Amino acid sequence: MCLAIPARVIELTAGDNALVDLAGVQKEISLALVDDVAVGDYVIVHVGYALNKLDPDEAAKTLALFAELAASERQ
Amino acid sequence: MNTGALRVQARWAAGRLEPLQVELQRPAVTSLFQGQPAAQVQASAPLFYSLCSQAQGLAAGAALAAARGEANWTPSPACTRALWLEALHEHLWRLLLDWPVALGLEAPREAFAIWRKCRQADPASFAAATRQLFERALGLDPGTGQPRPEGLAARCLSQLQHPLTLPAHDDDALPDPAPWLADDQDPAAGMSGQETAAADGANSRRIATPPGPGLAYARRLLQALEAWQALGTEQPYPLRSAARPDRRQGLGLTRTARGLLLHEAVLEAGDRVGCYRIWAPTDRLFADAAPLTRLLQALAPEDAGATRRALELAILALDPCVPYGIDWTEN
Repeated sequence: MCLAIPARVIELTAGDNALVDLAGVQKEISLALVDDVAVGDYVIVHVGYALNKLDPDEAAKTLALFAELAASERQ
Repeated sequence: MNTGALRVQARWAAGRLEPLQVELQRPAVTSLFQGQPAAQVQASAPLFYSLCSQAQGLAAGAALAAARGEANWTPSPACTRALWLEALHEHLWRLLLDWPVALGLEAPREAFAIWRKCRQADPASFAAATRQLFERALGLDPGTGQPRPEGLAARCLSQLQHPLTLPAHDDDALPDPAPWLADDQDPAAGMSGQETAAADGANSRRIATPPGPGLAYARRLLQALEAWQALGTEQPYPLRSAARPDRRQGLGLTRTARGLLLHEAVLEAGDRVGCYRIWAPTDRLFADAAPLTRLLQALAPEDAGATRRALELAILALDPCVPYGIDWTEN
């Protein structure tokens, strides 16, 4: 049950990698398994790989769910 | 936010391994479902999960339908295909990327990446790409499904000291979840026993030794082949449900690439969710140190180095779906 938190691509880096923002944490991931990723896109990340690209509406919907989850955990 | 993590603490002292400590952190996703309309929960449940989202949607759909009293709920053909594809993808990831790296072998990343890009292709092209991946990247004989002597699968099995000949099929029949509806049953405990040792009976609370690394890899090969075959023959995806109408309680049980997945829903007035619970393989296998400890004992490593190596392989065999780390200390 790895969480599908959308990660926003901040920068494309060398070696088919990218810097992403994942729940407020920046990390470098591999883009080897997905095509046509650009800065500003949202991807789902698993063990250092981008699994798939999300369309903006789907990413926004999912981020809203996780924001709700984070808020519930703080209460 | 808490995104989920697993820590395993292991300390080697005075020539032996001290009791393992396992800490699994999981976000309380289901807390968001309380009080929500059933239809909304069914739609949003898969969005939380990356690797098993299709299976989560299936289990949620079955549990909520059962709670509503709908006896014959089934997924659409498109969902069924997506479910088999999700399972096949997970099996191939473990077989082609995770196990080879853990065993010091080269992982065929490029071949896997090429195959992934064929998943949305027409069925004939996808079937050809999958066949090529099994044959060339894994080294399986296309006629028999058995590993070729010099292929990647054979080398992994050899390093894991498992025979190169695979059984004819993997026994993946789902148990009947109905007994877990009873008040005095703990579904998670019942599933632990059933999942890890068929000899213990479907509802045993005893956790037996899980499959070791060699058997885990061999079963993964079989399950990958079966998922591929199921995609080609449009087989239904494994699913069972059970209901207790007087309590508007429903269970949906399916199988992910990691093991059994159970959703439980109890509905209140207006088809709103009163109680919702999910039991996933990682919850069951890492709730405490017992499964990992038993597996490590079965592997019987002789010294500190071998024990650390065995611990790494044992965790991979149990296959947690969250990031994990080992805190290893030696005195």
